[in-house]
Amino acid sequence: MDATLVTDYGYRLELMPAPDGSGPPLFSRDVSAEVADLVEEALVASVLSEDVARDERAIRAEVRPVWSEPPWVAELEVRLEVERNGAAQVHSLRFGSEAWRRRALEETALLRQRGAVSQGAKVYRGLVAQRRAGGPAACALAVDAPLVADVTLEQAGVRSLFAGSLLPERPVLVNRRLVEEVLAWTVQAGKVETGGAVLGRLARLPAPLPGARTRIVTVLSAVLRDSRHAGKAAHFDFSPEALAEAAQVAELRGLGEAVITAFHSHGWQGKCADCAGGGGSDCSLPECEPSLQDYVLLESLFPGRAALLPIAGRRPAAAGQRLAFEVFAWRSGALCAIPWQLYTD
Amino acid sequence: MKTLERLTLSDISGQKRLDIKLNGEISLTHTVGQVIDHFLDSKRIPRNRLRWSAFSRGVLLDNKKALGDLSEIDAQWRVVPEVSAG
Repeated sequence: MDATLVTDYGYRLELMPAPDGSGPPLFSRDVSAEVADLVEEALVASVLSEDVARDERAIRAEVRPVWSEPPWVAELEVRLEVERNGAAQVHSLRFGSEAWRRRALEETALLRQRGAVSQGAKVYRGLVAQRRAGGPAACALAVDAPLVADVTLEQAGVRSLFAGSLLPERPVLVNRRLVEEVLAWTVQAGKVETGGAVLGRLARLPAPLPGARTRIVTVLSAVLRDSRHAGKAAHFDFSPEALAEAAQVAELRGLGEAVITAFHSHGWQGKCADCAGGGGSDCSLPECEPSLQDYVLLESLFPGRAALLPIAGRRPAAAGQRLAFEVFAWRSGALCAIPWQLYTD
Repeated sequence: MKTLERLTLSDISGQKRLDIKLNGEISLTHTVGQVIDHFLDSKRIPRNRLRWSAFSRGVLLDNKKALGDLSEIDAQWRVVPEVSAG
């Protein structure tokens, strides 16, 4: 997919000592180039939701600031314009400064290390837009459209649907056996993290599933563990050799699957089942949320914005069973938990 | 041994893909490591100070090897970093 990215503004991420932006910034960096990542996310999301065809040739992407108070930006609006039957059709998605949360957290940690900010002091994140001196800039942006196969639900390996719900624009189906295995391995591994390759596919069905508005569904079908992956507390190393071999296994299965993502656990111990939060002073286990390192994992190993990240671990605030299997997807520049539905093959 | 004429690189999921016709920007004198760099730059994939490797048919390719030393059966690579989750 080739898009022309048009923007009238340059953007800076700033870290500030006060929420109103008063005083000199603690940190300031030009993040204009990173706006392309948001446009890529918007394009991929629009293809998956079938608002934009994956073979669309002439896409005009425009990025506009939505002001909180100039020059401070509350959100960025990405407008995708395609031509349909001689008329322009516009799809608009909004992104908050959440896309730069990770960078802000990393830089805040560095500021604290250097003593520029005391350990207890709050640091506020803001996005500043400045109109380009030379007027609007346009550049070409090539984006790989997600690989999607036209298949029936049966051909996608789905026999029956079970519990769960779907995000209408990004339906995800997860094999019940996969979830059972991941949760069992998470309990078995205890405080040590476990993980492995996840096989699956993007499938375009003849019609949307109940609860979905797009025919394109992501199916997570199987997990492959390998002893070459190595886990310890709060850390899990993926072996490139094991992942490459998993990709070969996916091909050999002949079901049109690929190593579509990788799962890992965030640790679990028996008392987590009774934990209502906080975890106590002796609890070092992270919750079932992507860490900063998990962002590095996803953007390096699965750089397409259609990628999902499954994580298993504790959810202290959850009612009932507090051992959770969550699926995170790119939403507004950040990884957010999305609903999913179980199936059997 | 017939040498490479084309190369297809992808990430492990196959969602980011780059087709290269050799003897243009990339030639048989380029090394595997240089082609991996070209792929990462073309696809705006951040290096994140990781070690990157290419695999062909599940087998690790030597980053220092020149493309001229590879056979045409090694025309499809998967580019994989050594990366951790947290």
